[in-house]
Amino acid sequence: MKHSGIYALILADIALAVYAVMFGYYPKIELFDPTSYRILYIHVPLSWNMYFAFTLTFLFSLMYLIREKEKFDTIAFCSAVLGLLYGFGAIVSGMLWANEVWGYYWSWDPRQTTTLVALLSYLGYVALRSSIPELEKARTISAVFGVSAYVTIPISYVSAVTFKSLHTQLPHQPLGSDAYLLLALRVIVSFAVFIALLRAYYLNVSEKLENGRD
Amino acid sequence: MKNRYLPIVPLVIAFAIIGYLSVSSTSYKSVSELGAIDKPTRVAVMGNVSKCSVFFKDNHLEFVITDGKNSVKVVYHKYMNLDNVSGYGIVVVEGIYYPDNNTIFANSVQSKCPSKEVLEYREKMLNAS
Repeated sequence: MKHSGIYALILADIALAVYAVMFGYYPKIELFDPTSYRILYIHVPLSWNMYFAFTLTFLFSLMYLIREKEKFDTIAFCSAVLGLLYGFGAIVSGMLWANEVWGYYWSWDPRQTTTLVALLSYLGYVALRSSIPELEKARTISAVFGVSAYVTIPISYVSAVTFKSLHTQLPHQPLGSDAYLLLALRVIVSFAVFIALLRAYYLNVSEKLENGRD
Repeated sequence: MKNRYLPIVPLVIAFAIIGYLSVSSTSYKSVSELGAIDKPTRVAVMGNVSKCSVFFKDNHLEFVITDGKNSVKVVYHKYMNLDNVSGYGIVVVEGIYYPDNNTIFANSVQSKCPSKEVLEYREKMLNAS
């Protein structure tokens, strides 16, 4: 019962995702299988949550370095872990779409490559933090890493525009208002799920740290 | 304390400059040059809008551009006014070219005013045809 709210949100998110994939609008373009457009309803919320998660890691790492409050570091860490999960989902869904549209799952496209580099950076953040036994030291070092790793995020975000990527941007898609409405709903619900997961994970990690201290 | 993070600022600025140069250095291809492309590729192509080829349906605009020898279909995500009558409405299309479908999925379509470059191009097209 403790996490019933989160489960309800996750169920709503999954139900909406299934609805969007089964019945969501797609433009009738004779270029590739147009139904593949429906992966947009999965890929976009995952990607945006990933960017948001790593932005939180950056901000809270910075705040930890300035204020040295433990909770800032814990939030930064939890957000990085969730960002990795969302990022992995974004990469996989992107690969499925790429295979349909470009003919390859992976083509070292600038967007694919820079996003992979970003994920590897945050994987390094989590690994580095886990490898340092002294908690205070781990916090400071991972906070510095959490700030500097963020340089990969704007690079990943703008790579589709600046590096002649095949990855098109959302405003360049021939979607009508129905599609944007459904996509907005997907983004809002998945964002709510992200926040709920972050809160639950933060409480869990904080509790473990408290218990470890006792 | 704040100054420790200042190196991020020049990094971001350097990245923005590289990005701008990358975008601004895009050179136009002719429609015929697309024939050498064998996989989806980002291109910028200048060509004439073929007569009566423009139509808008299901949230996207479709039209054909030609250089007098070859033609390519363009799919664009929104409506814009194009010369659908003369056969010499010059546009620059930037987007992803799909060789299997001989189609460009356009990110941008610019209708060119008769600048010197466009007039020269139009002259070349007229001579070619």
